[in-house]
Amino acid sequence: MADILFYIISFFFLIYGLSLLSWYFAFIILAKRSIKRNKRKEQFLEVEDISSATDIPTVSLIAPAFNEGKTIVSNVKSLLSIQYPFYELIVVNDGSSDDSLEKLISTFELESQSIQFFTESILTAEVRGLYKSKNPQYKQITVIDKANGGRADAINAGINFASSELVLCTDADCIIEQDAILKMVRPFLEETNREVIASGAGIGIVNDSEIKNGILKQLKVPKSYLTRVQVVEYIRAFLLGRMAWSRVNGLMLVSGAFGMFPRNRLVEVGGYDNKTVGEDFELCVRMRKHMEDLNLPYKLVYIPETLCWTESPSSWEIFAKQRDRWARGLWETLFNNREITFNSKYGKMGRIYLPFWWIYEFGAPIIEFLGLIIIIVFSIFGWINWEITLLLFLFAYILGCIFSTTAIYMYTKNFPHYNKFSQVGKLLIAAYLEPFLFHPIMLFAQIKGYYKKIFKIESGWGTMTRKGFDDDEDEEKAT
Amino acid sequence: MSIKELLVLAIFIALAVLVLILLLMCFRLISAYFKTKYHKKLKAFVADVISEHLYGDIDEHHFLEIQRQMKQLGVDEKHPKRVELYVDLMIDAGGLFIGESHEKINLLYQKLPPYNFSYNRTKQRKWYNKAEGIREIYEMNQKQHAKHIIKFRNHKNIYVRREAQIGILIFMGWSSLRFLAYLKNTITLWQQIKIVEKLSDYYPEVEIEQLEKAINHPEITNSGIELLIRIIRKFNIEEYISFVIHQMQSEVYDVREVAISCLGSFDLTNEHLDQIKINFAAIPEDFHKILILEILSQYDIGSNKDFFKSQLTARDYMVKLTAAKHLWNSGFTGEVENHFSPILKQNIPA
Repeated sequence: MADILFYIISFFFLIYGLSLLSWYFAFIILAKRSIKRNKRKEQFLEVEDISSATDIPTVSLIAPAFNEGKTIVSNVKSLLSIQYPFYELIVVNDGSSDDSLEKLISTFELESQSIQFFTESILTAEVRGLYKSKNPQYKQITVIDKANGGRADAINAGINFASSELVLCTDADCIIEQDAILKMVRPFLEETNREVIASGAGIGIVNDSEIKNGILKQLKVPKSYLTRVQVVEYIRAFLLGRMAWSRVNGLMLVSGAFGMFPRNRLVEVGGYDNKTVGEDFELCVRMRKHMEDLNLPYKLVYIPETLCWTESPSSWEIFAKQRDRWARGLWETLFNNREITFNSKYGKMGRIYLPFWWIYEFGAPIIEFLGLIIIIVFSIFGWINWEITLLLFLFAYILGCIFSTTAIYMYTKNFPHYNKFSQVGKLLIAAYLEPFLFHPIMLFAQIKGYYKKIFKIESGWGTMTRKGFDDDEDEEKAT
Repeated sequence: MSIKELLVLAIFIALAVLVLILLLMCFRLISAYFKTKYHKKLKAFVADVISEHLYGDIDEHHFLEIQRQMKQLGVDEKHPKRVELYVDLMIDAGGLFIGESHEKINLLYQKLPPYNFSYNRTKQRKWYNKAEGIREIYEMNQKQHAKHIIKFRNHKNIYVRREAQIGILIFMGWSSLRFLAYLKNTITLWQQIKIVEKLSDYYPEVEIEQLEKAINHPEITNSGIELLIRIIRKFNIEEYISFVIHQMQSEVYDVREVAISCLGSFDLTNEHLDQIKINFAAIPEDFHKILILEILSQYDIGSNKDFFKSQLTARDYMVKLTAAKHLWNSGFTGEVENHFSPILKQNIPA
């Protein structure tokens, strides 16, 4: 009996591991094709061709901010420097208790506007005030002051006030490439047979990089091990995972830090769900479901280029909190949309894409955790052949290294960042050390997130403290 | 073979693959270093050639000297990639100039090799070579190949036919509308915008008779109509606003959408506003109706008050609320209150 149990369990883990491996290698092939195709197409879709056009869609850039008084002014200046002929910047002050609003009012010469009658398409927490600048230099900026309702609620308030065709959701503390909006708009102008309901792009990490006036001057590999591994993780996730899914129109997630959507579709689905902490994933699933229900052909597009830069957690504690939240967000979205899974009514999303998320994104930490427990139990009973086990671990480790190395190789081949031997070397070392410290802590945080969900332990977003790109402040100190 | 042996073999294979990828990466980084260096060198050469041509005292001997230097840099038939790079740099540099200087650079393009490089590229099998060749032809003003690129206008590859369409436009100007408005394939929004922008850059003077011919052609396609609406908007051709308003009633969603979105950029007369209000009821999408209400709200709400009031009873609540918003914000609060008070009283329990 024990033998049968042993073989069943071993076989289950083997099948799971092999199938996951197959997916990963399929991702490499799909991503490679997708990047190549994208690169060839790009030659004929130069953004300069339309940068001065009067016919391009209007875009509202919505940036929620909560207690970001330390960096809000330089961040907003950075967002105002983006090149796009028709865009408005909506900064939503989500009930900050610091001096964010006062700083915005004084720096950008804002004056209060009377709201009078306003059609609120999506219900949000109370909007206390609306501000626009007296200074024509800042005519694009609108600041909404509202009661605290969380990130999703703040973006929804921005969507309500947006007067544009497209909405770009980002965070106030993100650094966006100058031509990012033009590149993000491109898929919406390109598609004829299917409606593009979302476009996303690569997000990079700028910890320890050189930033001047809200513009990334020199990208550097972060100094700490934790942030360095996250660079590799982002490259792997964005370049391989999302590019591959985008190739087969299976993209289920456009990152909350940088995603563009048609405003009318956002309003139709009721905007972001403020009851979940994984609001970006939840929104994409709901939008896809909405389009399937309407029986309309649609597409989610991913641009491989890194167009948005952000600061990643630099302490283990904050990192663990972030992953705990991501795990809970994943749980909430999958359970809230469980009727889609294996439901052929929703086409490939129901048959393939969402089941993949259940089995490999949601399931992976559980399987890994169970694996650890089983190793302990089996070793107590003396059922483990340690020689074979270590060889298996080594094999799995090298495969992981291959996957990370391929991702870094593809990145250096296609993009100008990290193109020095020293930079690539640092990233490779971080990638090869990933399974020993980074991964176990991430697993612990994910399991903690699931535990909170199982036992219904209330937990929100948690605080994400950032150092900030305080080059201006440094300058002030220096003078 | 035992499991252990199998695993050891698998580990060795995996290690070999890893080493191979690492070697590829090293090769890639080294070659990128040398490519960047060469690129800089060629860029400096192109800058020198152009500045000397524009501002220097040059003769035929000068061109021979440039050709000799090009050979030294390896820009010849044996190195097509380098030629491609050189052509790209020349095009980029040429794009920086307008007027007389641009004309002078066009002359330079003709004087220097590689002769027929772009034309030969259009004959290659790969779509991106064809498309790139066509782009080079029109960017370098090689008018002698204009007829050659017309035949690519309905090519099965979208990028080849697009480049051909732009080429036709650049060489033929407004008269190219007789090709562009009746293309077999749908013209994407990107391409429409690009065509309109190029037309405005190269031929800023409107040729009404060409536009008239295109509009009245019986075989005009839906994307052709969209393109013409965009042209009317870009050049602000007031005589054709009625044509745009008429397209609000089109059976095709995209045409309706373009027409409605373009109306916002015209300075509409009372006659136009009346026409829009007449067409309003026939528009099937509530989303479009909201857009039209937003456009009408930019004009005197007072003279359109009855129309806005009539929308308070619209089927869709967003249309209703948009009408209410504009009435309210224009000071007609009584009208909104009178309409909504009885409804609120009915719904609020005593």
